Amino acid sequence: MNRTIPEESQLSSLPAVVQAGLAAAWLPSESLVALAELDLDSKQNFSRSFLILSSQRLHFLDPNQPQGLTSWELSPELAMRTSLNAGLGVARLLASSNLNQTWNYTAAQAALVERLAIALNAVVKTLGSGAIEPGSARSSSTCPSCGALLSPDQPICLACAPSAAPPPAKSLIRLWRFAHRRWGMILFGFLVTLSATAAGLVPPYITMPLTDRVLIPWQNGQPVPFSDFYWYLGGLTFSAVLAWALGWAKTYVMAKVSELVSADLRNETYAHLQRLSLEFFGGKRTGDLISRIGSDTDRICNFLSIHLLDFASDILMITLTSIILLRIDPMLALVTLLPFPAIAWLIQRVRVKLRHGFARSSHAWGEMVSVMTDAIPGIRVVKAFAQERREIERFRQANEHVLESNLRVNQLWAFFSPTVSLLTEIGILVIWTFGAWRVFQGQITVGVLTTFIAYISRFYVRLDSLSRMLANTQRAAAATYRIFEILDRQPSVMEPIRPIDPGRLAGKLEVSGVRFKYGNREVIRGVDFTVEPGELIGLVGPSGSGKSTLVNLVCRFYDVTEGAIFADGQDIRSFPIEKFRSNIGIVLQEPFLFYGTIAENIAYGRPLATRDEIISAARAAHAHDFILRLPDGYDSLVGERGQSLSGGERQRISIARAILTNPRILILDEATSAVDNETERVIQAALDNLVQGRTTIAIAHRLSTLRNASRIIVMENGVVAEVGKHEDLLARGGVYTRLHQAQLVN
Amino acid sequence: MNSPASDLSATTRLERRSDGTLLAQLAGDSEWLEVFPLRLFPLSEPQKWIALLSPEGREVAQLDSLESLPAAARDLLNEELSRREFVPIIQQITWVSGNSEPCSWKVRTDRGETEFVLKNEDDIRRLGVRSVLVVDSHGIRYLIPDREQLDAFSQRIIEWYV
Repeated sequence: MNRTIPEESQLSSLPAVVQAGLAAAWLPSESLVALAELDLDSKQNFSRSFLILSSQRLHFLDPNQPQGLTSWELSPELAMRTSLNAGLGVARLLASSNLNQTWNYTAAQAALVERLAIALNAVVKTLGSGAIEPGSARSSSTCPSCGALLSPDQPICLACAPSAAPPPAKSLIRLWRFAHRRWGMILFGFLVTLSATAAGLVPPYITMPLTDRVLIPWQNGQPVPFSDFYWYLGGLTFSAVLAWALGWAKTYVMAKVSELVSADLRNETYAHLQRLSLEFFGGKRTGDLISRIGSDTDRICNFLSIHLLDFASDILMITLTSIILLRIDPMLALVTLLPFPAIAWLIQRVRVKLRHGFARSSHAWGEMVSVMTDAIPGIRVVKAFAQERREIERFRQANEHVLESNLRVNQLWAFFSPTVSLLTEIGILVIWTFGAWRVFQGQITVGVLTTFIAYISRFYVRLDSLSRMLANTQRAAAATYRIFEILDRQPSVMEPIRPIDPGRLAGKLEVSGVRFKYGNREVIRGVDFTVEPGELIGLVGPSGSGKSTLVNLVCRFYDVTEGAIFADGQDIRSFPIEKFRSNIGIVLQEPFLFYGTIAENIAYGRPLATRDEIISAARAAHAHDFILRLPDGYDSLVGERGQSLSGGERQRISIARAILTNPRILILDEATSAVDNETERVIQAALDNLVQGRTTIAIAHRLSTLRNASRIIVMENGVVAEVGKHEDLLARGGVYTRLHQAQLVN
Repeated sequence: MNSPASDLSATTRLERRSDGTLLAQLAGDSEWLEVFPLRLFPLSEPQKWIALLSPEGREVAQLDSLESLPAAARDLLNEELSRREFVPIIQQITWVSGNSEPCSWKVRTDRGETEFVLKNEDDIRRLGVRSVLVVDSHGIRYLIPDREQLDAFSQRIIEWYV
């Protein structure tokens, strides 16, 4: 296993500082095992240093010190312990149980340091045998924050690692993936936009000959062909009508395109979300996920249909106007356009301030709302402790904050629009002054000056909307980024490449050498057991012992890190997920009912079930009687916004749901924990019907519910502590006895 | 469950074992227990209310105040506490990548300069009237004891959030 890799190639993979510091000390026979960067010194000040583990030695390199390299020969007496506490990590090097050295690091480096420590302890252990087990320190694990599967070489989840860069504007370009399906419509939309803008620029152009060839000669008493006047008037009318029609078309077409794109985006994001593995959905994320699909796609739609369109036509208009002005009179055009960038910059500055002001006031508003959402649902507590005054005061303060920040924004806002008009007036004044002077010099006609004035006043109006563009782009880019964050996520439970159809399983389950890591924490540490078809086994243990994780592994909500779970002798990872799950039924502690009728809820797992089947499932679940007492029977609406049912009634519906799907493997995850003793007895009767002839794993808090279990598996700290029947386990006086006694006391 | 006696400040003895762990001998007890200290009010009252916990996390004693401890024990405890605590104090915000999260921040702290990523606007929260706590993407906490003591730029950035 000891490969001899040339020294250069070993060290060259390391950062330059490390190479420089290590080069002199590195032995030809050493090979690199692990590297960790420490970002704190011994006084916990930010400072960069390195731990390098080779096959023979541990090196500590502090590039900030002249003699910064310390090395330890690896020996079986050496051990490294790490701990992480509120962001601060400590690694301790022990030699024969005596503290030799400590190092500090922040949570940012924890994964790498922990990996190095595991590797060191493994290398040290195998020193006698002379071989390094490559797999010892390198097994895959699951990211604790998003649940993605991490490869051994990648201790930190890329998706959850700090993305130093803010949402890149480039994510907007990725929208093209959705836009290109509608490319025909988009092209049409842009053509219409172009023509609409061009049509809008015609009228000022016509005023030039109208003034110079008709009005002024007429005033001076020269003969004028009057038909020209009608021609120009007709041109003005025609271009106005054209601009109106084209403007209408462009808005309609672009709004339609953007609605279609954002509808596609919503559909695809939601479908992808449904396919993601269970661990992606942390309890807290619900609101965030909903808002991503709801308001973020809406924001993108607005950006595409309104802001981007405005921006495109503004840019077009500015370019076209500049060209026209330059062609009519380059000198006057330059003077006209010169202050433009300065004014644009000024407006942009005020806009930024305004945006911060708005952000502050919406933040204050949010805080005020959260005071209410805090206090109103908790009104019983508020009243019971007679704290109404204090809540009123809390609200008053939050409200004052809102008032204050709104006043500040309004101050700025009130200043903003008049300032834009003032700047416009000043711009026009400059043209009047310079233009009039050119007219006096005889260099341009009155008509040219009028045209300039007409063009330029349109120009300035657009400045304001242009200044909003930057902020809108940022916001849309952030929204797109959040959407693609979901779309880019791969489900960590993968479909097999060569799937085997499980068909209808007999129900034999084998859990063999299963380990499961959640981030750096090993939750399941080597579990083996077998469940025969039709057997009911109980799974008990203190909370945090790994019971729920174990059944999640059986359901393939997660995949094992090491070892395997077999159903009927096949690794469950070789079955298509959907087909495997159709063999599994699950009854949870908190039954979930969807909004719909009772019949629909019972038939959730088998939408095509007949009424007859639904009723017999309900009967078996002891739910039939209370359903009859509901005003609309099986057609009663339940779930959120529906008829409210008690915990026990909801549980019996979810049992009926499981009975109807007729699963081969049944998981009962504390199915009776949330109800009182009386209700428990009814549910227990329903469950007895359900478990008939099925392989069942029942997690139970109340040990009394496991009397029927043929075996009880007691878990503690991620391993199986004891296995046996209720009486045997009691006689043994171990973990089970302790749990049992604790319940008797209660 | 035997609840720990309320104040053992004057009678608790502390020692450091060769492997670096802390041992405590409680009043009237001859046994030396492995313990680690924890502040109960780390932000609002750091010098008082220290709990001593067993390695499993069970409380074995509570010390009402660091001051009433013998000097040697106090130093040991302070050393151990500072080894477990890491809340850099932000003195200046030198750079922020943008005003929509996630964004990265460069800050000067009492422990030197560093850079971190702010994931969410909720990770900045007001503690008192003027003190602010910032939590970065790794869960490292940074404290601003008085935001009005910061320079104008840093204050403006903090004001976006609080």
